[in-house]
Amino acid sequence: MIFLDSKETISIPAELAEKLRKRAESAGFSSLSSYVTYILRQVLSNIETEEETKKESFTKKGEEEVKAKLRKLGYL
Amino acid sequence: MKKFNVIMLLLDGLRLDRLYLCHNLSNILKKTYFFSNMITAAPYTIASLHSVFSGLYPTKNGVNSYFNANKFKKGICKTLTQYLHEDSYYTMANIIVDSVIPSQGFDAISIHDEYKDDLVKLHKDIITDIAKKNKFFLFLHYTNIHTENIKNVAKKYTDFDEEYFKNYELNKKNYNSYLKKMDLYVKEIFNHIKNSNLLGNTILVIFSDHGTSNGEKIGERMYGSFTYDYTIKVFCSILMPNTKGKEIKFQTRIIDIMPTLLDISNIDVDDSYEHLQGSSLMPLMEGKEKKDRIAFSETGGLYGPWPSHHEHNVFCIRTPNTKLVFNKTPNTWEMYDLAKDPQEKKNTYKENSKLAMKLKKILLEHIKSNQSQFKLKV
Repeated sequence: MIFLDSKETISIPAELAEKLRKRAESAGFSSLSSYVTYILRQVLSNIETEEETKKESFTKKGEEEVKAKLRKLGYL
Repeated sequence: MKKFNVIMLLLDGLRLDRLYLCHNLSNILKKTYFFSNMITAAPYTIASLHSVFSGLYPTKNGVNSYFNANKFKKGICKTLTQYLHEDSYYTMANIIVDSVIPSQGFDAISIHDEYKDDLVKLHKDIITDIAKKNKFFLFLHYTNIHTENIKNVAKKYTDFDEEYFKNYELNKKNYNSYLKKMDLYVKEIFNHIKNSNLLGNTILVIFSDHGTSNGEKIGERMYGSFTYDYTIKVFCSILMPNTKGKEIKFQTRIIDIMPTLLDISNIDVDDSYEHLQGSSLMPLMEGKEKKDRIAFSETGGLYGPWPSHHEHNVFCIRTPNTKLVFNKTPNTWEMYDLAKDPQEKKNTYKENSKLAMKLKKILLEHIKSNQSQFKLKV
């Protein structure tokens, strides 16, 4: 089981880390780890959104579910 | 440091300008930090509550239309519930349907039947049960104003029915008649919290998520089509143990509630998630900050003159005295002098006015930055 607040260490080249550290500081992040995690979350979120959008059936199913809830709320 | 329980009581659809009719609620507000000039991020529950829980405006957190209720960007937005859950709180909500709040971080979410359930009894029972937990977060959704509006307005009229819009006084009277039951609910729930000895170790937040039209503007019979004050002005009260409280009249934003609760609970913001757009209200409570906060609000109607089911198309920026509205779909602008014209009847927008240009720049930058996607592709 992976706990939400548990962490793993990933190695990256020192030169890249240095560049990222400078950017993290100028962007006001509290640490290099926070900055890299922020970037990875954004990238992954974009990929997942694109994948979901491509699956038309998924999108339609999701919209039907939302419509059912809006009907239940009396809006539709 | 001792951590307090958190109870949030949402009074769905309660207009700020009708608080004076709610005597029990008004008496409670006197003991609290009462933010009497708060602006919602969106004038309908689904988008408003996702903003409350994320501290982010709708277009930033993904829930930027009625039909995008399930598009919350859970991978990049960390919710109030997630923070509290990670801090060992037991987290629970009782709501009307499961799409009105982000579910991340909840141990339990129960749904009530707005037409059958006795919310006083149900919510009292939930409080009695959860009070046995060591440390908890409870979100309770009072929905009777919504239910009455759906029954008496949404199901009877369209957004353009002359019969509805020519009877403002009657609509107002009808709306006001729903408040008595709500006020009794507040009294019963507050007394139950008090009698359960929770006031000494609980932060109680009472707030409304949006207002409701009484027929002020043709094109909006309830809410969600426009961003006029009768739907975007809300309130929030925070009752904390061992504090006296006071009314805070400076303009604040509904997205400020979440960072305030994190601040009071001594929980650090995780900057590996989207950075919060709201900020803690503690400096205002402590008297260290003495200024109004610029607020934005946005919506996309299910009906009305410019329905927009998949993205918001009406945006506004509000300072205490001025509002600038951008109706993206017909590409029109409105500006109101709120000090002279609180009913927003006279559109004073002039393209070359200095104030309009200044507010327009801030509003367009706000919209653009919220819409911008992280560009990197892998």
